[in-house]
Amino acid sequence: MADSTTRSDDDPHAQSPTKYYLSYPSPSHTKAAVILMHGRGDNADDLADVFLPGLQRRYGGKESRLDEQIDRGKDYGPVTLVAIEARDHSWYPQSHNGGCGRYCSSNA
Amino acid sequence: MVGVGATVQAMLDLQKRDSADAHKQGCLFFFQRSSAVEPALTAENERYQQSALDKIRTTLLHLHHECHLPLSSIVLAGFSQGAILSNTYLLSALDLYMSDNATAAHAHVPLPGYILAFAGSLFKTPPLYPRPSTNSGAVTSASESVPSTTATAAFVQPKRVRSRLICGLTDKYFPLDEIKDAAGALASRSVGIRHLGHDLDVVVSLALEEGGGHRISPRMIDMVSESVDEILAATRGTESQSHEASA
Repeated sequence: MADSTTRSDDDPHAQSPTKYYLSYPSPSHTKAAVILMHGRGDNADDLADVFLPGLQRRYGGKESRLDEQIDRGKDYGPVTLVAIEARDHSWYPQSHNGGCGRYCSSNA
Repeated sequence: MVGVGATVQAMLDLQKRDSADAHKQGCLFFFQRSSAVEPALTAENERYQQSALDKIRTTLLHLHHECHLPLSSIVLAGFSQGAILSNTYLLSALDLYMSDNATAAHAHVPLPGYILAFAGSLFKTPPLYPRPSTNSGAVTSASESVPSTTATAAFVQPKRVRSRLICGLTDKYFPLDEIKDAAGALASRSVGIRHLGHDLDVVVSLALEEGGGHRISPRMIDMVSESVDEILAATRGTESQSHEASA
């Protein structure tokens, strides 16, 4: 238990989900993959929803999120859409240039 | 006689002031000075950033190893935080090449054929990546939601990486200069690694959109499809060549 807690502290996003759309990736039929990485406060499903309609019309595949039990191994098309999600919907807590700017300048 | 910081409220007020001013006033109690607080903030951010970069890495390796997809056939598209991390991931690999550590880049930082950064720049203080290993030499792995892949599992780096940044001119979180600086940092490294003779061509482009604000625009959506079209066209070209060769 302590080990998993420590590992989670070192690697906050290790257990966060990876979600698949259009078609599960497979050596037999996947020719291209798109990995989506969302912004602060967002999630994999909402970001995928922005791109899914256009990609589905163009390359085929399922219109909704794939179901592991039903869809794994099925060839729905040559393109897979993979959306990775952050723990607590944020990849990092502080701003990208919040405290770092002064730290950088005071480092000199 | 009541000195500065003698009461709880005075301490709280003091905490808000510039630490240099507080020192001049001869305070008995020193709160964390900004230079001490900021490394703590940076350190706190860094483990999250490293974990996020590991998430990119393991996802790429899963598609490459388990699904037999060439890295050149993968598009990484990030929005906002995702864009910053995507750019940072590329930058970390390029810095390894620039420091003449291509071996480390080839061992630990697989690159996708396309990196699309939608409304995002770079960190002012980038995280250390790959992060120092805690064991005999392997890079610490990340996600278990994707099957784990050993850090030393070989991968075939693409010959060319297209790095495409796009941002709205009225994006309130990313000023124009910041986006240009990010593109410039990537472009300068791409030139540098070419001069060093590395077998990696990084093509950087920047598109700025009128209006729009901080959002995913139709142009960004099209950019994903265009990238996939290029991949599929290249794949068809490769397949037809092999058919001709075997005929």
